[in-house]
Amino acid sequence: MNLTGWLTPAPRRRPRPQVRIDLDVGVPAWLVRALAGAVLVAIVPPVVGDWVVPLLAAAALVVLPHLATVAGLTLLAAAVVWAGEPRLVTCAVLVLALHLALVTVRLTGPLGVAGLVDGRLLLRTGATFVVVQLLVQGLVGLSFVAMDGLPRAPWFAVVVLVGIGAALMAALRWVARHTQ
Amino acid sequence: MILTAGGAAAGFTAVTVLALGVAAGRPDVAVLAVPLLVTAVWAAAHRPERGARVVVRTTTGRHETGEVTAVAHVDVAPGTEAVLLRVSTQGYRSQEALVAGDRPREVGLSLRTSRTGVHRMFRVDAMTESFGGVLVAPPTRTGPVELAVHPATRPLRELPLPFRLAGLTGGHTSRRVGDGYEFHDVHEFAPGDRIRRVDWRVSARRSLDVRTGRLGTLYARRTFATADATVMVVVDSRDDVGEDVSAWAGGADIRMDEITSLDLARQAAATIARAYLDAGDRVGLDDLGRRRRPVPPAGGRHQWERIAQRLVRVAPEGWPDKRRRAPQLPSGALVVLCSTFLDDEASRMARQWRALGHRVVAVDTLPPVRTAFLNGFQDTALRLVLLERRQRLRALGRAGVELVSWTDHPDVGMHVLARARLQGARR
Repeated sequence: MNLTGWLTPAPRRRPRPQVRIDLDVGVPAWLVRALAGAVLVAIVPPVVGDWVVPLLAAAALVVLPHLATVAGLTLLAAAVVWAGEPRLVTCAVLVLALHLALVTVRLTGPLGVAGLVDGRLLLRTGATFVVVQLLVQGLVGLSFVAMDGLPRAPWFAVVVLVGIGAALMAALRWVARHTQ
Repeated sequence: MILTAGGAAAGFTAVTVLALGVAAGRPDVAVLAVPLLVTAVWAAAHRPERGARVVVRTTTGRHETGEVTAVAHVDVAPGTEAVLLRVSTQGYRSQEALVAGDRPREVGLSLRTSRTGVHRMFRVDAMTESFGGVLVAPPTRTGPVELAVHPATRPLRELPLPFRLAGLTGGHTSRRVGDGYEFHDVHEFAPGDRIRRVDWRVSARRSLDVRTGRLGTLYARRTFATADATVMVVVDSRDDVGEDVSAWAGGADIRMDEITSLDLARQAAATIARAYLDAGDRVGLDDLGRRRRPVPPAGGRHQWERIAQRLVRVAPEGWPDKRRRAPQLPSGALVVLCSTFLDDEASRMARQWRALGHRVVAVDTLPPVRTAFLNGFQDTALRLVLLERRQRLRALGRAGVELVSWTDHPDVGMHVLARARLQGARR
């Protein structure tokens, strides 16, 4: 009886070879996710004054890049902003971070860790990101300029707006269903 | 196009945050929803009318063992931002890529294989995505396509010849007297001899009449005629076993980066056929595993193409009946039999051919076996099988069949056979 048999490693089959997709420039999805997570960790904690929540948010983005994750992060950011005093820098950085998360999810969400993102798509998405980000940062500035004069709506207006949102979503679904 | 669950959740969240911000008079909150909202609205406004159409084409040229390539042509509709491609092939890990969908494009696909033969490769699943991935089209599937991977041939310097060369012209020296290069003898000039064959020096020495100064009898140099060899390459396609013995019974897939016995047989047959054809000989091909007409012996480049096309399609088909007689071969042909000799059928055929007077070369195509994944019973069974095989090969040697192992320096083995002087063999 071989008493040391359990110490010797069992033979393992080598992983199967891989089919290759030959893109001119292909960036691994894990690299895009890791870079986005690193940027989030670098820019968010200094403005919110906390390391744990941004770290968890970045981890969530890296591990589970899904649009629902971005929706959750948006709610989280809204709660953070709601709870604190309005600050331009905080708002601008959070908008930038959320948009970055959205773009990362868009690029790597459908892919596995070893998937490849086309370099051409990266460039196009980057360009779109810059344009939209300029627009949104402009809106951030405008919102802070106009913040003092904005009237507060009654609570039933909130309900109406949520209803409008639901109607918009229903319309989107209808459009999607009739264009299949 | 289908609205994804994530897209719906993101859109609803964006509208909710915007509404809360507006209602509470907090534009700094409301503006957080703008990126999501812009993405959703832009995706709805610029949705593609249809999904991408993908066509997989093989690249032109001959595929040989090693790199195999194909091209996926992706045709996209306006509004498509990206196309998700997943390429898979049996025996390989699949690969995914998200490619830009702004214009039709061609994406290269490739894989490395050690296998030869006809394989179905490059199945492509494609999913079209609108801006932001909010709307997606149902996935489409294209392929896999059939690809013929030819064996790579290797150079052979010297080749064994049949016992008897039957052709009238060629690259080898036969036993007949005729036009050739090797000296046979000096003979009296006879009708039919060419004038340029007259050996004037010998004629002068033997038949010059010194008194009259005239030649009596002329002598001509005779040479051995040249001839070509007829070679029948016979492939035993009934077995296709790899290095991993645990896959022999079919319980596991044969790896695509490991060579099998049939790959070795294809490579051996192609190499030997190519070498003989290059030497100007006539080569034919037969398959022990199929009852179909063999490729009859012939020479030239077209014959090489015929043999290569037949070889690449050689594959095990069911369980063929036992043959009562060995397939009939051209008289005096050299027989090269490529087999694993794991059963008696191939060795029986080889002995029959040898008994009919053919020179038979048995090429052993069993790859080096790996027993790491065998249990004790399987290991014992393998030992018995290999022992039987060894006895079978020894019996072949005793019957006058010459053996070459294709995994162990086949060029040296063929060289030794080419130089061997066989008992009972006539040149």
